[in-house]
Amino acid sequence: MSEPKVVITACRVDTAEGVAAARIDLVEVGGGSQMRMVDGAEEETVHPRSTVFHVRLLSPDPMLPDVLREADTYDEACQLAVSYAGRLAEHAGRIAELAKDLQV
Amino acid sequence: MPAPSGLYTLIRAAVATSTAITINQVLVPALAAAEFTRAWVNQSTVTTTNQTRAQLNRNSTACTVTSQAAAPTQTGMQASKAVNGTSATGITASAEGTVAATVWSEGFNIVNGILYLPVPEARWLLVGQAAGFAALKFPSAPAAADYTSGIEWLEFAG
Repeated sequence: MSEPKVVITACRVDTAEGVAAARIDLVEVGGGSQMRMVDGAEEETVHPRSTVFHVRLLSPDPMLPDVLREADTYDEACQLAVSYAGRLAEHAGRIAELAKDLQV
Repeated sequence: MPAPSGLYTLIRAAVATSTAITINQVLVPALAAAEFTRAWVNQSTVTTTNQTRAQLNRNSTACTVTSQAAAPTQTGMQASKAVNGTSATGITASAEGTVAATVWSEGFNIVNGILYLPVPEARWLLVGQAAGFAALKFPSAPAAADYTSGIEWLEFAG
């Protein structure tokens, strides 16, 4: 008898300051059917099924859309999200500095 | 009930189509919900009468599509959470997703086109999830023409 398996289907990556930076979701793709005409008769074609990790890079501004990137594995998805979280924190720091500097 | 964050559309404009495919796909992500207010299919190149059918489906897996961003219907609105991607929001499927339920299905003459405009009580509410897909589909091959189709929804997002 095979062992139960833990499947990670979703997670969130935060910046060091605790701000949500990215969401990761496991998404299934395909597996549906399509009716095709073959020699004048309808035939059903079933498409292959696969999975992909959606990495939603959360926009710091609601007026700008989030960006969706795809990754084949959970580790790749985490790597991408962590790298984005780092850059997001870096830019937030710069913006805070700029805002402070603009004060009169 | 929370206030909607905006009204958005995904329009596939005048694309030559002659196969049974999903034409518009909207991914409603986790932490959001969408209330579908309108869907339509019509064409702009053929004057010969011909019958076909359109379906609005809830898919449990993604279709592989051409990525296309959802458009806000007003200026100054926040961006839609139905983010675009080849396995997210987009048009013209090259591989079909799995249909979990059919919300609406109706035959029509391609000379007239078809409009899904439910009364408010009958609107389909899709609560977001990792695999929350709304898909407008030709379940069987339509007569060849340049079809325009669209989905419009009220989005509830933080």
